[in-house]
Parts: sequence; structure tokens; C-alpha cells
Amino acid sequence: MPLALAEPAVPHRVVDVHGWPGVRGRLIDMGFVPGAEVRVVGQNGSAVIVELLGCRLMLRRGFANHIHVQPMV
Amino acid sequence: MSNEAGTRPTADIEKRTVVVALAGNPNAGKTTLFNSLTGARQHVGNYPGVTVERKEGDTDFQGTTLHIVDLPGTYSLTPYSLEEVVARNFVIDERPDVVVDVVDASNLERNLYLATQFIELDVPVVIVLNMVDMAEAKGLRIDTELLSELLGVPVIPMVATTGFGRRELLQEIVRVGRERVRPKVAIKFGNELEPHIRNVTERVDQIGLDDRMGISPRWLAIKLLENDSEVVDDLRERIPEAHQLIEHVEQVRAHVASVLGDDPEMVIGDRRYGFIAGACRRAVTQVEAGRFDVTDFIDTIVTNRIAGIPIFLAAMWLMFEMVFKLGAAPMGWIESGFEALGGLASAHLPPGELQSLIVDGIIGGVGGVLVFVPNILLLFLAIAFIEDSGYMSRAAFVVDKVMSHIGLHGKSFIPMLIGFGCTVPAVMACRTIDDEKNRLTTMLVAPLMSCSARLPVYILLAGAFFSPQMAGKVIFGVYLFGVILAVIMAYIFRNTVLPGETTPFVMELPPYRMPTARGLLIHMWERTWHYVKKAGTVILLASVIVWFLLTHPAPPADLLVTMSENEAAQAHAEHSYAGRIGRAIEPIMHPLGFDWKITTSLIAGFAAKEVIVSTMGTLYSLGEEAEDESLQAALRNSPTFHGRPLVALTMMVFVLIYVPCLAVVATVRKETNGWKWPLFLIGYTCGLAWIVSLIVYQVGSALGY
Repeated sequence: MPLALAEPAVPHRVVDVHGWPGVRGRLIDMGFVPGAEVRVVGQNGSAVIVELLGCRLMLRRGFANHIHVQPMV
Repeated sequence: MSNEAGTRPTADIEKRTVVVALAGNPNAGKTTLFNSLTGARQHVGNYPGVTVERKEGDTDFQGTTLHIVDLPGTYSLTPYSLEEVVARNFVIDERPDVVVDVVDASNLERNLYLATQFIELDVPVVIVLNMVDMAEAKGLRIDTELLSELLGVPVIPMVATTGFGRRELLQEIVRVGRERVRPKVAIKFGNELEPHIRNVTERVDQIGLDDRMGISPRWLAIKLLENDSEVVDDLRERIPEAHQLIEHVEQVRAHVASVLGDDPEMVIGDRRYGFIAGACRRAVTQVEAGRFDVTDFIDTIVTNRIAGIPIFLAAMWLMFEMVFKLGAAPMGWIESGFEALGGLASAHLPPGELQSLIVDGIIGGVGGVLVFVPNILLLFLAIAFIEDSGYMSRAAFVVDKVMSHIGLHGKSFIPMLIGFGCTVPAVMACRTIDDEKNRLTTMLVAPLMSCSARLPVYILLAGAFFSPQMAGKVIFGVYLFGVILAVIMAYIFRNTVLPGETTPFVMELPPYRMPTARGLLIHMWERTWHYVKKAGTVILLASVIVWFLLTHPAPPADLLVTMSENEAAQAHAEHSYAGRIGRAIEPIMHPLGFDWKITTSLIAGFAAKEVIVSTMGTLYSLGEEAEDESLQAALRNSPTFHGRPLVALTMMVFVLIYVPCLAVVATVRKETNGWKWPLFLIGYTCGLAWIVSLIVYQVGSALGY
């Protein structure tokens, strides 16, 4: 499921990253690689705040939707 | 390796100077370290061809001079933004003797990503584990020796704010820089990809590309496999016979993608993070976990959907109150100081040209500008506090929704907030916005954020025509009006001249920190100094020019004989060049309620908005009999304003909107690389100022104000 739809505060794992090369490359650089643990910690109508690799990142929803995640079991 | 140190001129003279590139993520404490290393020996310039700020500084250590160049803060060396391109090109083209990568010890995994790229580049690297005290407070114990061994580069623990570890760092920089100690470990990209990297590396070697490009062949191979557009384009352009290699790489990329189910850039990024995770697993132990996290706690409140906006507005209100309430007293002191100076000069100089130049032109002009230094200091102090504490990026998140409605994003908010201080750094801050159209739109509307130079004009006019209780509210209203106009104009621009989708973005929210006094003072001082320097140079010059335009040519002597002193002063001003220009344009400004004096002041304001105040000072106090009568009283009694607040309010609105100063126009030209956008900026701001002022004055008059 897209990261923007992930349940807040619940740890998820990155499954895949889509988007055109510039967006995708930037996301990979920021640590959104398959297997990485990510958690939504805040959101508003236009953006989400996620915790990844121990720091907080703000992403626009359109951007967050390129990142596919699944809940960690 | 082909890039032997011996080919560099700095290497010849026994390496008495070591060139150090200071790199690191934003928020890793790079600026603090730079200040701690260089002290006052700094020089600020620009990187050639672009306007990214380049800070350099020197420090001596045991007979060696370290020349330190502060690279822009970046997360990676892949060229997605101007900052990253600049950082990478500096390391590749100017080949510093050593790269010092500043890493936030409490946030190792993300910060080491940049380090892996320097290791791949195969340049001498020293890693600074900054803020080890914070990491310890978080319960992280880092075995720096083991980490150094695993990464293959020296690792120095440090606390840049206190200077802990400074000596060890300097020692290591000198050693690594002099001997050009390269990384001892190469990052491996897995059994699937490694053979392809080796294969491409060999081909790079065969063509001798490494010699001609001057970079490590393995790094070049990795970049080609990553499909790094900058490297591929550069190669195509500089080495025609490389096209075969590029074709070959394309085949390999397709092959890797089909075998691994992922393209090489994903595999490479993944392996870099894997390499870091592996090293951290061994060298870092979490001693105690689950302690109360302050950042967590504050964020749940300030980024809350309901509480976020009121908190944001309260913070802005607080900032305003502080700037204006606390600034009032020292302003008074400076004002009386300059008055005394003017009085002293009048008493000791013979009346005439020289006295007029010094008293009215120079002391009056520069004094009128320096009076606002307390306000400006406080404003920059507040902005520095918001930046350094970590709230700035939260504020960007909170306003992102609103910004998205007008086609901008939260990041555009930062230049706009800085715009309240000075439009020049605001325009420069637009660089952090990746998307071109967003960037231009923000740049075009940022001048509508009332800069500190406009504040003197508001204080003068509001103070003269409104009660002390009302003046503050009127000024706040003008500021708010600027914000509303910016929103409207941004919406219009995004739907007319700069249409198109918004590129989404990523922004880090750094942990909250108590800003250090030193950091705040440096920030505040640097920015205020710009203002003071402007007062000493551009404004001094403008004051003298304006004084000249206002006093020359003198009216014919026979005309003056019959006149009273006040009439003579009036005749002087009317007869002058400035008066003539003002009169010529007056018909256009008449519908706004402006006479030639206001028009003349506004023209002078092109140089810098503070000059409006000094020009009014000259226009309304020339030949004045009552020396102690303040400018505000002079304005109240002047027929220009008919004693009505409406003209003053209209003038404030006009000053808010029309062309920011020449420095801003020059900065926009530099930032956009051409005259198109600065000219557009001049045109639209003047047009808008005229229309809005017309509405304000005509509607106000009709309502009987």
C-alpha cells in the first residue's frame, strides 16, 4: 500500500519505490530502500511526516504515494 | 591512481597549506564546526558561475595552514540540486587535500550515506562524529575505533559547540591531508553487480578515462551504472569516443534490471545503506532505550492538525511583539545620539554647502537608517532562534496545506519568512526549492513580505498619523496585507506565467535543540552587519546623491531675496533636480493622493527603501527653523498629508508593494541568470502598487477618511 495510506504510528517496511528517475533517486538517497523501516508520525491535508533511520522527514502526499510499504509483522 | 597529489601546486611547497573541504548533511552541525575551526578568519563569496554561498576560512595548526572551504549541506552527491552539484564538482575539480565529512552521531545511518559516496570517490576523508554528547544522551555508545576500521577512514568524535575533539581533528586533518591517505575499504555492491562494475571499470581504464576526467575509474563506473545524468552528459561532451562505453553501460543496466528485478541505482543505494547498517550494527550499541523523547513530544503538539496553526500564529505574533517592544528604547538612544551629532556639526561648521551636505545629507541620511538597527538585530535574532531550534521546518509543515492551495509548498514559506528580515537573503533562500516554477514564483512574491528596510517608513508614517496604541496594529495590518497579496499573486502566477504541476519534495525535520548563544549571535550579527554595511556604502552614496538632487541647482538668487526662510527652502526643493522629476511624475501619482514630495521620496526609494525616510527627512526639514521639531511632527504639519492618516496609509501600501531595492533586482538577475525576471518583477510590483494604492485612496476618500 502507498505510504500516505499507512496507519499512523505503526511500523511498516518499504517494499518498492516508484516514480520518475529524479524522484526515485532522491527517495533512495534519503533511505527509502526495500526493507527499510518507516513509520508515519504526523500528517495534514497535504503532507505526511515519517520517521526513517531515526530521523523525521516531511513528504508531500504525492511523493509518499510513490513509496510502497507493508505493515511489519 | 592517476590523480597524484604531486600535480597540484599546493602540494609542492612541503604541503604547508592543506586545503580542506567541509561536507555534511544539513543540520549536522557543519556551520558550528566551521566557526569553531576558523574563528574570525572567514571569507564569504560565491562558487564560480552559481550563487551558492561559498565560505572559506583559515586556521594554523603546528606550522601548517589549513584552508577550509565550507561546502553546501547535502544528503548525497547525486546531482538533484544545485547544492549537490556544487559540492561534488568542488571535490572532483578542485581536489581538496582532504574532505572532512561532518556526521551527526545521534543520527549515524542517514549521515553516513554521504560518507559512503566520498569513500567511493576514493579521496582522502576524515569523518567527524559530531554531537557525540547528544548521542550518549540518547543512549548510543559508539566504538569509534571499530567504526573507523569498518569504514576504512579515520573517525574523530567531537562536540563542535564546546570544542571537544578539536585538537584531535586538526591533527588528523594535517596527517591525512599531507599524506593524502585514501580510504582503506571499498564498498562492495554484491555478487550480482560487482562483476559488472569491474567490467565497466576495466573499460574506463582502457580508454584512459580516469586520466582524462581525473577521477577514480571505479567511481566513474558506479556513476555510469547509476545512470548519473551529470556524469553521462559530461562524458559525452568531453570525450567523443566514450559513446561506445555509454551504449555498453545501457546494455548492462538493462541486463541487471532483468536479472535482479531492480535497476542498478536501487541496488547501489540499497547496498550503500546495507554497508552502513552492517558497520553500525557492530560499532554502535544502544545502551538504554525508550527514554522520553522531547522531539517526539513537542512534535505531537506543534504539528497537530488542530493546534498547529494557532501555535504557529502565536509564535509569529510573539516574534513581532518582541522585535517592536524591546527595540523601542535603544532606538530612542540612537536617534538622540545622531541628533546630538547633527547639532554638534551645525555648531562647528560654517553655514553653507558643506554644513548642509554633512548635517542634512550624511548624518541625517545614515542616521535615519541606523536608527533601525535595534529592530533589525531583534528580528534576525528571532529568525535565528526559529531556525536553530528546529521549529522552522515544523512551521513549513504546518503551512504546507495553505501553500499547496496556491500552488507552492511548505518550503516556500522559509524564504517568505526570511523576507521579513531582508528580501535579498530571501531571494537567495529560494534555492532550497527544487522545483523551478515554485522557485520563481516564490522569488516573485517574496518581496511582498515586508522587509526590515520598509519598517522605518511604516514606523515614521504610522507614528506620525496614528495614536501609539493604533500604530502597532496598523503596521501589523500592512505586514498581513503583504502576506495576503503574496498569496493572491502566487496563485495568479501559478495559473498564468508559471503554470504546471508542483514537484513533491522531502524535507528533514531536525530534532529540537536549544540554540547556542554563540550560534544565535553569529547568525544575528552576520545578517545585521549586511544591513549596517548597506547603510555605510549604498545608502551613504544614495543619501549624498539624493541630497545633491534635492539641493541643486539653486534657484536664482534674486528670487530668494524677497522670501522668508521657509519659502526659500520650498523654492530650493522645487527648483532642484529631484523636485523637477517628482513634479514631472506627479500627475500619474495624483490619483493616489501623492504630491511631488512623496513622489520624489518614492523615486529615491529605488536605491533602498530606507532612503525614503532619509529623503523625507531632507525634504521636510531643509531650512527648518525649529531644530528640535521631529520629522514626524513636520509631516503632520505638512500640507502633503492634509493632516489625514489616509495619505500616510496609502503611502505605506505603496511602499509595501512597489519595487524592492536595487540590490533585490540585482540578486534576482543573478539567481535567474537573465534580465527577464528582474524586469518582470519591477513591472508587476510598480503596476500592482499603483492599482492597489489607487483603490485604497479612492475608497478611503469616498468613505470620508
